Amino acid sequence: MKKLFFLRGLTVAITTVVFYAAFILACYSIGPHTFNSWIPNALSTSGGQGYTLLRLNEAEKASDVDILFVGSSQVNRGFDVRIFEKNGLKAFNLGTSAQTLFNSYYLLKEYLPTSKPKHVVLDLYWGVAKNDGVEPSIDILSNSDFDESTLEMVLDLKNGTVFGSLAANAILRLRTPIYQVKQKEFRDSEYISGGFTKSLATNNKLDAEDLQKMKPLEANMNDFQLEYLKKIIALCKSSNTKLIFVLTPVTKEYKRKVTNYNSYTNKIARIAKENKIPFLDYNQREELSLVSSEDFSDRNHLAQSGAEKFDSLFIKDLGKLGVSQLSLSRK
Amino acid sequence: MLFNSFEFLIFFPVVTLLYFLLPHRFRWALLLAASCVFYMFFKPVYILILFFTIVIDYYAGILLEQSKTQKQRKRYLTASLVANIGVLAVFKYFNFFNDNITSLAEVMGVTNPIPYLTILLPIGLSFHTFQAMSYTFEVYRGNQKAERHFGIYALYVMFYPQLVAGPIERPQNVLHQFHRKHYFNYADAANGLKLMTWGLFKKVVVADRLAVMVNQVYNNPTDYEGIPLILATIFFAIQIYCDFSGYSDIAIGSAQVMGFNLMENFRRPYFSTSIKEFWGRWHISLSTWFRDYLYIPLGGNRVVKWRWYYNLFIVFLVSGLWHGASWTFIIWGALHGFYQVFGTITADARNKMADLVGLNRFPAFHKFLQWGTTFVLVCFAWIFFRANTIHDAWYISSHMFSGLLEGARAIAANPDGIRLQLLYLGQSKEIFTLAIGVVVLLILIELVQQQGSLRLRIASYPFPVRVAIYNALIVAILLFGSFSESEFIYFQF
Repeated sequence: MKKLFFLRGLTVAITTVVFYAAFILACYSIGPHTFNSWIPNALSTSGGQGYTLLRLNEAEKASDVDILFVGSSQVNRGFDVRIFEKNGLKAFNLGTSAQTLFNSYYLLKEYLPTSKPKHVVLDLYWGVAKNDGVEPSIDILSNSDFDESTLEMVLDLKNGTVFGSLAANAILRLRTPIYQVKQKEFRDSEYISGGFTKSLATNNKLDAEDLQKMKPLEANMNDFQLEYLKKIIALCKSSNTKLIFVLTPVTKEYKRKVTNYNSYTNKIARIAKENKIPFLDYNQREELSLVSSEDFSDRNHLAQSGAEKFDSLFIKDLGKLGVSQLSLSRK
Repeated sequence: MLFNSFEFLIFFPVVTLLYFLLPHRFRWALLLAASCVFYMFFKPVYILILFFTIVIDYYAGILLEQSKTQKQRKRYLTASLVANIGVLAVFKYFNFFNDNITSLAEVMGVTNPIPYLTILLPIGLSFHTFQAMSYTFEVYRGNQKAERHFGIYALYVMFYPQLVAGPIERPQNVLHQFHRKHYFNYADAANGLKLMTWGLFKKVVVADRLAVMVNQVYNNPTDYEGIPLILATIFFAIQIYCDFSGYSDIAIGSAQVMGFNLMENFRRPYFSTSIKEFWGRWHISLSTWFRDYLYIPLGGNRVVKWRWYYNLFIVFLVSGLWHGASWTFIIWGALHGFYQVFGTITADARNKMADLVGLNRFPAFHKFLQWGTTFVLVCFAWIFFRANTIHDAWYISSHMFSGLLEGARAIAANPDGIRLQLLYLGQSKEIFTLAIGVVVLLILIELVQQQGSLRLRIASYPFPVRVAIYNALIVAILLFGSFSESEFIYFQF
């Protein structure tokens, strides 16, 4: 009986190993086309939309910056590092597609020690505050080395789609190492060294009809993301980095769709006050005269003209917070 | 704890391993502790509700057995039922009835002084309450000896595989199994694991894939008419079947690995050719519960005709209310009650009609017609089950066949945006095709199962081939499953 049981176990083990070896070999042979839109748990955005590949590659070399920006695509399209450079502030934009606070935490964990920023500017856009972090995690792991913090992020998320995508990307890397992956070009945007995505759109693609159709929405931060916001605060404190909360601007029409805007921002303001963190909300600023049809590429992303207006005001605000003096003293 | 969570991936093997490592006399304690942990993953404090009903029913069972007179027996049975139904009434139905009283009071121009209770519904409350009640009923009827071991009785109510969504077991089937010593059995373990894998496939690959599209339409019904409403309703029929039967498979399978046999809960219900047959195949443990403890005590079919129809209707109405404290569920139950009554009344007339038009000379076609009609009726009722409000359900049922031509033309005209919204229900073409693919695969497997056990068929293949087949199933789950850790639909009941 025991012998039979042992033999069966051995057969199961051998057959399983052979099966998975054959499966991985098949995936490897078929190549990148294996992991396309037909397989929802083997996703890869390597070199794709959002320029995460170039951004993370550059982030590794960024050091001694004054400001490190983290958040979603609104961050990488909103903070033009060249404008900050002109104002004597060395900045790096670490905003990636749909980046949630969970992802921001792991990116900060990885890049705070190397970039050594004086300030971290964290965007708290409600559109990603209740997300599960799956999509941005796949974007990050598809475009970076499988280093400790990336693997830690994957393990922490405990999501089958992310595990599957990690495996898929590992097989892809066997064929094409990360340093050989080419960044795709896009007609509506351009990557600017330092992490900024310059929008090439000249007008807002969202017409009035689309916005009218849009249902009212509630801004919320789920417990999972709230937990990571607290972790970010603790991480910045422990590394002696000053944290600034922001809400990057969206179109007035889109903001009006948010039914509980004030209660959402009040919640953030309360957390900011408790932790002595400045909180700048650019949807409530009269002097920021952004035109929806000209200064935005869509309802929640700034076009280049909008980014310039926004950054000018933001830099003034930084001056009030004493950030510009920091930089000047460094010089 | 969810069966489709990483926690369960650790919990299940650890508990199973410990179960076989421990001496028999400690196993009940392990399973009870594990069941407490399993339950407390949802809302720890609610374990006190379970404890309350367990204590009441445990003593009610013993006192019932010791009672000398029928009057005493009835008193103890009533005490047990009041405790169980009382818990249900407070936690599940209080706010529903209170809301309706408020609405009625507003119409009459008065204010309802009864406050609204801000409480969460304990998970699986209707399931374990019904299982507890079946124990006192059976002791009362003399079909079951009262359980003297408090821990074993608590385990009967709390056994983790079926604690939150059934099957709703009977004491005659389960209690003696907790007393019996189980030895590790390779066949049981292998079959249990296979059933669990198949259940997980149904849940994460079929149900959760379809759920995204169903939710898209059912949460915004007024954005649609015609084709998407029909598609989403059919998808929901498949989603709820895979979700719930998937849960049952995992429950039955995980119990089987430890050597426990739980009752079958689903028997390919969508192959039914009548509503009556459907209820003999769908959620069997609940329909037999209602049969044994409500329908038969009401008199069943051994009464005058009008009373029989009344009994049928009442049972399904209560079944609707059991599912949820909402008018949508009540209407769903009433619809099934109406189907049953109407089907019973017209049975003879329909047979004569089939003879008259010669349908009986083409039995296969006749059966196909019966199957189609049953499926359509079940799907129509599902609209009320799934819709968020009565208003939504009304909108969906009244707009399913409007704008069909325009929708078809718009899809045929091939602007991708329209196609994405109307035909693919907001998903990419690939994901939609994948969903259709897994549904087709499911139907094929169910058809094969209809001819005989697929497991036995696979068992005839060489051992390495069998291992490869089950590995392929695991790979399919890993590649195509949805891992959002979504709750099972029936957890809310």
